[in-house]
Amino acid sequence: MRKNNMVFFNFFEFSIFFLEIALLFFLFFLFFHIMSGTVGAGVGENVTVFSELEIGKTAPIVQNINIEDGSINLIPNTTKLVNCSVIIADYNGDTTIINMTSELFDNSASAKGSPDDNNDHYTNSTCFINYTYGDENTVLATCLFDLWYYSNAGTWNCSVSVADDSNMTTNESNTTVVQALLALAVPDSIDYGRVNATEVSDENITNITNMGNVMFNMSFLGYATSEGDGLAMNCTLGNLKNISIEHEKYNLTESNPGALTLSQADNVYENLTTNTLVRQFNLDKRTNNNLNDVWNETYWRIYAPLGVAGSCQGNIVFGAVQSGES
Amino acid sequence: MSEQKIVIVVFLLFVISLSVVSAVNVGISPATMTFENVLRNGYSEKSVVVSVDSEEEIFVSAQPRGEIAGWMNYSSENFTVSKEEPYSLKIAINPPGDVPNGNYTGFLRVMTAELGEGVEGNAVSIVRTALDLSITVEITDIEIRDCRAYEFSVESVEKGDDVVFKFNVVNNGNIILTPRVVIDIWDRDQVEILKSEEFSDKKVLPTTEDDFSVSVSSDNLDLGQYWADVSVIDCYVKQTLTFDVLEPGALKTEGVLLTILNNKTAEVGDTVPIEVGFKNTGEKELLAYFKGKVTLGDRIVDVLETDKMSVPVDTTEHFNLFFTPAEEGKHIISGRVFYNNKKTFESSSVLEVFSKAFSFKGFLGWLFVPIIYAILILLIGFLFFKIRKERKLYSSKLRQLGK
Repeated sequence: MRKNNMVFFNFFEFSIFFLEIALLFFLFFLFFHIMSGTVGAGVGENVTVFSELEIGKTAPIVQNINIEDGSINLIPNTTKLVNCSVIIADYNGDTTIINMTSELFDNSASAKGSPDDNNDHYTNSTCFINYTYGDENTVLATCLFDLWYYSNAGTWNCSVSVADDSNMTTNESNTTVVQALLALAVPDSIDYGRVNATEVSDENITNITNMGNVMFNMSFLGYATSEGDGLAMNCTLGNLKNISIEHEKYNLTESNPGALTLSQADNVYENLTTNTLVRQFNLDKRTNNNLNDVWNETYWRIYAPLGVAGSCQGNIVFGAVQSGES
Repeated sequence: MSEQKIVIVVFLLFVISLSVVSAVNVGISPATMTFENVLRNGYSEKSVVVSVDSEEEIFVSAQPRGEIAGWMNYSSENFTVSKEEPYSLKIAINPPGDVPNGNYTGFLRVMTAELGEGVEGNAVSIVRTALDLSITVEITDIEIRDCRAYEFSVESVEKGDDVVFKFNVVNNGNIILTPRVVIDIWDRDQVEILKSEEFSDKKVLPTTEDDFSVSVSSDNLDLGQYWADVSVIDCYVKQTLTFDVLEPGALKTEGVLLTILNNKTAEVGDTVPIEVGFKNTGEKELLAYFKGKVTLGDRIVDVLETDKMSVPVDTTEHFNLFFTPAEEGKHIISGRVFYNNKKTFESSSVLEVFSKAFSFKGFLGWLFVPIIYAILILLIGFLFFKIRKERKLYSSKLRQLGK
């Protein structure tokens, strides 16, 4: 009986010991299983990994900046709407892009951060962002600028700054060329008023204004009905009915007011010609943002010879050509 | 008195403004033009934009002047221009065959029509505004061959229709180009060239751009996806395109692998998540999966493949994968999305892997859990030992009592 009890006790002891050892082994290997973190699978086995891809906060990426396909042609005496078009990607989703500002400036005369000046620097702080463009990570931003006609010709830079909701900012830029604009403003006609035969008209002052962004010289030629006819005007009455080209006169620099005889006028004015004659004028471009103060006065008279009467009419071609100084 | 002054000032300002502002202001842009490297009997063209600030249409005429007047052609002698519609005037230069090398100058005069009117009984000169575009032509005898081909495209076709390849060629040189175009059509796996055709029949003048449209018969092509290498030999440009030959009336299946996205850097042993964006751009739902590889130098270090995923029309789905680099170095993750017996263009991204930097704090952190665990196991073992010992003691006492 005792012996049996002993056998039973030993068997019980052995079982407890085995369970203890098994528990320790289990805990030991469980530790390695937890710590290794590796994922493995035998041939033909499937492994399911529960993991979440969380892309860290990434800055917006400017993929492309297009500025009027690389060339801007200004419009005389007004503004030209220029679009700096930007494609932006943000892999945290396009709605994270919250703000975009842009500066358009003359690369040689201005710089990013300079104050706005119609000659060389423009800022748009409210670019329009089109979230429907492209996929869920891409937007199209439109930054519009009204470029004045006297903006400097040359290479310009469109510099953009894109910010997302995690305050990450990306700065990129691209260049374009603002083309030289040759443009001028002159009145539609020069009215000498009533001029008596054998008299010289009063002086007419005609302003020439630079409406472009380059300095220019002037050329002049006159004709009555067709170029090269040698006449300044045709008249409706009189036995002669026309005024020769040399009787129409101009001075580009100096006013000579008051009544003048023909010989006095010949001394201080140049005769208009039938051929194009280029004169140094060097009328520079406007630079003042508030006022167009860039015009030159030109002074004109006409002599009415004996034999003309009624209404007289002719043509003058005011030609501008870019001067070498600009 | 002050009111009188104000009236006078306003009147003077009005008079000044009348004298400064004319009815129409016309401009040309650019103001000068240079035709470089033009061959005798050659050809070169450029454009000048004529603009006005008037909402109304203004009649404008163009007239060549100077020693190059006889070489100059332009798109129109008389045209209209308004503020909303500036006119782009094309100017072409054709120098004669007997002109020596050198620079030649001239003008193109752009002139408005008469805008003013006479006044009864007065002597009036009508003013016409003219702008002289200064033109320089550089004559050379050095031939320049330079061109660019871009905007390649092809559409999927129904069986029997011609496959039409389109692209543009810009001739930046000074000789007339007849670009040689070679089209090689490959099978879906890009293993075998099934068809190769060559074309060379369209001329492109110097300084001009022309669009090309080349047709290849699909008669001997079975239904399925094909790849085509379009080579414009003269421009040293080759572009790979893909197209399908479809059953008549079949819906188009098309997809684009948008991005392979991953962190740009990682440390050895890190698990790097990879996200592949795929967009269904076709006309029916696709069953797609990504298959790719990770390479380090010339070695493939891992193969990537995802389960199939259903991608509805016009939507973008993302395939998620993981890669654990075992070595440092520049890893290239590349692959394609396979769908409906088709595959996309291959895309790739870069992962720069660095060795794990040693950090004492990190090392302690790494040791902390094992140490705690070991202590715990030792504690349990010690408890087992103590229990066993106590039990033995208790058993021997019981045995002594039994005696």
